[in-house]
Order: sequence, then structure tokens, then C-alpha cells
Amino acid sequence: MENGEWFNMDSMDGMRRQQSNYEVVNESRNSSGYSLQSEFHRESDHSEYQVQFAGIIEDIQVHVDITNRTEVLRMIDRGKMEQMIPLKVSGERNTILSLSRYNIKLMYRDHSAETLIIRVPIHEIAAVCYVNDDGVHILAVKYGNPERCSLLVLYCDTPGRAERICSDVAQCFQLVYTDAVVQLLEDTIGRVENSSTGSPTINNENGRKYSFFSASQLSLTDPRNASKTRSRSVANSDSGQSAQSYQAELLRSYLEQLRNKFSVDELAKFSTLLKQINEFSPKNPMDLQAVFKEVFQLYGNERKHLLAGLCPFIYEKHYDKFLEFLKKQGISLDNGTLSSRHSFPACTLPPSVTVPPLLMTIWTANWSSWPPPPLSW
Amino acid sequence: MTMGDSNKNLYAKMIVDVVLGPVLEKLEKKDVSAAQTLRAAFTKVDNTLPGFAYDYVKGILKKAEIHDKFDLCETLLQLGGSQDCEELRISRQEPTFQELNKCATALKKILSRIPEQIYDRKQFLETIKEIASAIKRLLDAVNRVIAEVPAADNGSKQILEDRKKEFVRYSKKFSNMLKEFFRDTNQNQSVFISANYLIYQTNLILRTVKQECC
Repeated sequence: MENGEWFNMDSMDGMRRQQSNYEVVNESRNSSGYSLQSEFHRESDHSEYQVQFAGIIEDIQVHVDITNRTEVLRMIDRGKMEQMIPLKVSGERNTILSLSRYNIKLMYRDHSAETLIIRVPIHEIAAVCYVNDDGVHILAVKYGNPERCSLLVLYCDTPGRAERICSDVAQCFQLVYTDAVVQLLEDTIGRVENSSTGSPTINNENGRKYSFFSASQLSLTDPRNASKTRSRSVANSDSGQSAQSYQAELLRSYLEQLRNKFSVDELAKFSTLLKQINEFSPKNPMDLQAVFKEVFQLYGNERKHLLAGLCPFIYEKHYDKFLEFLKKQGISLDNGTLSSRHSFPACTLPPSVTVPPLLMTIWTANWSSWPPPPLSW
Repeated sequence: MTMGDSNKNLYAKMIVDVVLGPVLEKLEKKDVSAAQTLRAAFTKVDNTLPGFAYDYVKGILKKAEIHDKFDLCETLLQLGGSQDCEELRISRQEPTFQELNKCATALKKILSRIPEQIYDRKQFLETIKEIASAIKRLLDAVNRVIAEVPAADNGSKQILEDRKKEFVRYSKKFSNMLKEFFRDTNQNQSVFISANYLIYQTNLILRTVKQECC
């Protein structure tokens, strides 16, 4: 067994298949390491592994790549120095790691009594890595959210067990991701079903970085984000695609287009200007024209064709003026992402509803994050 | 596997689109009259006796002793993305109609890759994402075509809307088959069939647009 086996939650090529008394090995894996028939498929399926709980190292930097062995050991050393984890683990208490497609659960088990140490949902796990540090088999689980990350440190008796846990977590990642992809398809179909006009086309996400925490998840795709997609779509389907949620969805699609073309500062300015347009009650109509001009300058010549896509988000009261302004600038709506004037229903949201500045701030601060956080009106 | 009547009819229609159609197109270059006569004959017979084209081709394959050498459903799906005949191409040159052509071809191409990718989970999931995107683009393109139909022509608009609804229905079936497949990977054949239906529906959209707008 080599030192520092890194599990990108992707290819398990060449990996170990050691039987242990504790676990059953599933051999039905295809060449990319993705199990064709998951052990964790049913809701009740779970596996348990005997481990030793070292501790939790808090406040890990979000961008830390735990595929880097040195980084992981450095963090663990820091944890030991700051007494977040002990220098040595006694192993007196029987610690069980329970893994299902929903979460990792760590428990002390004494006879019939179980004490929960921690539960980490699968979609909050960024990566799991196994490090062999001079015969000590360390399993590190990085988890958390964009604001805060922690490292759960466990020890395993054998490398086989550590590798098995990594492999099984990968299976769970795969299940979450699979569910999310199918949900994406369903949501897309649901949206187009309700759309009777030419709504903006969703960009192909194939080349997009899903990973939020580290490069180690690039090939698997962060299930945390995949899960968010699912929860967002569940929320949408529960509301029955009301006009408001539909327009929210339109806005999200449009913002995604802008994200590919605008810098962070430009997006922030866009947010301010859109808010100005929709909250505007000008005494002098020329003031509104001045705001339109600023928007036009922001988009510039190369991006002015995107202005047509802004129409659905302009309130009724200013819609005609905005259209007039576009015409004067020579921007044809038929060349935009929407097909005709009649596809541009003016935004009928109440004046109190605007693009939340916080949405823009969060969204523009996390370039590589997908999907954008749920809209809240 | 027992062939249900609806699957047989589907295969027959796919065979007309992706097997007989391209062959007759090639024949047209040599003998226009013969090709057109045959095309009309096949269409008429298949309309009167649904499933005829399937029996016909099956008969040929049996004669050639290759009928059991490959899976017809998979093969039709693979051909569905690679074969394109004039009959399924919209001739109007306006960008809206050409965009519809492009989107339809793109979706069919992606769907036709399913048989080779379904057993590689990672690749297959990426393909599903592409399919979602392609479905959206296709229906956006259909919406743009519908918007171009003159307001007075409500009949055509309605026909196109109905065709679109039908397509959405089969898209949902496809999505359900995928869920089933991920629960039980032996359900691959159901995925192929539903993907074939989706290709057929795509071709129906093209035919309908040709009929109503060209």
C-alpha cells in the first residue's frame, strides 16, 4: 500500500478490493469506477465501518485542496497543536461510521447504546481522502458550506477499510449526482412545458466547473451543488410554476448569461441600475433615459445584443420607454434571445419586489458556484 | 423480448425515416420516378397496415440471416441520429427555421449516442445533461417558429402547439425511463425505446412545420 492514496471520488481504477470481516465487497463496477448497481440504492441501505474518531478541525480554508497530502497532514498537525485532535487516539470506545446515500453518521456504540458524535449530509461533503502516514491510516473528510469548512479526522485499522470507505462515499456521491441530473432533465422539461414563449436558452453546462471546495471534485461534480439544484427545483414544482416563480426562473437564466460576459464589478453595477429602473418614479422623464443610457454604456457595443433579454424584467410602467430606447439604439428584439415582442411580457411583479442586492453579491462572489443560490423575493 | 404493437409501429415508422428514407433518397439520384413510387407505396401500405415496414425489413434481415445478429431497437436509435433525409429537412431559409433544423439534428445526434454510453455512468450522466439542454433548445426553436406563424392562421398555430405538447409528453416518459434504469440497470431497453420515441417525435415536429409553414 502506497502512502497518500487520494480519492477524487472519481476513478477507482487499480484500487484495492480487500475483504474485511466487517464489510461486503461489491464487485459490479464499470471501468470508470462507477458502480452500475449501487449498494446504497434503496433508502434503507447503509454500511457500517469500525473506525477511530480523532476529532474535528474547524475553520479549514474553503479553497484548500485535500488531494494534496502535504496540506492534509499540515492541517492535522495544526489540529494536534491546537488540541482539536489528540496526539494519539486510544481506541477504547467502539466508534462506528455509518454511511448511507443521505449522510455519514459517526457514533459511539457501547453494547446496545449509541451516542451520536456527528452527522454530515452527503451533499455537504467536499472530499474524502485517505493518507497513510507511516503506517497510520488516516481518513479525512472535508465538509461544510461556502462560508465554513471543517475536517473530520478518523483513523482506520487497515488500508483496505479506509479505501473501502472512500469508495463507498464515492458511490453515494454518484447517487446524489445521478438523482440531481435526472431532476435537471425533469425540471427542464417542466419549464419548457410551461413556456409558451421563447425563453432564454440554458447554456450547456458540460464545461462548467461544479467544484466549489477543491479541484478534487471536478470530475465527480459537487453533490452539494447538485443537491441544491434538486431542492431548488422541488421548491419550484411545489409552487406550481406561478408567474412569479416563472419570472424568477427567467431572471436566473438571464443572469447566467450575463455571468459569462460580465466582470464581478459590472454585475454589481447591473444590479444597481436594474433596481434604479424599476424603482424609478422620475419627476423628469429624462432622468429615466439617463439610467437607460448608463445601462447601455455598461453593456457596451459588444454586449448590447443582450439588452433585449432584459425586457421581461422591466416593470410595466417603464416597459414602453425601454423598448423605445432599444429601438433608438438599433437593438432589434428579434435578434435577441426572445423571439418576438409578444414574448416580452412586461414584468408585473409588484414595485416592492426587486433583484435582491444580496443575491447579486452572493452570486457574483462565487463565480464557480452552480447553481446560483435560490432567488428570494 | 415480446414486441408490443406500439413498439412495432414505432420501429416501422423509424425504419421509414432512417432506413428506407435515406435509401430511397439515394435511389432518387438514379431514378426519380421509381424512388417516388416506392416512397408513396411504402407510406400508403404502412398507413393501412401499421407495422408493415418493420415486417418488411425483418423479412429482408431474415433472408440475409443477420436478423439475430444485432438489436434492432439499439440500431434504429443509433441510425436515428446519423441519418438525415431531405424529407425531414425544412427548406425555408429564414434563421428561425434553419435554427429548428439545427436543434432537431443536434437532439437526435445526442440521443443516438445513448447505446454506446449508457453503460458508462459518468459519460451517460453528462449525455443526459446535454439532452436536457438540447430539448430546451429545440422547444425554444419551435416556439420561435410558432411566433412567426401569422396571427390569422390559428389553425396552424394550434397544430404546432399540439405537436409540441406531444413531444413534451414523450420527453417526460423518457425521463421516467431513465429513473427506472438507474434503479435497475436491466431496464436499458426501455431507455432505448423511449429515446427512439423522442427521435420520432422530433421528426414529427419537423414534418408538421414543413406541412404548416412551407
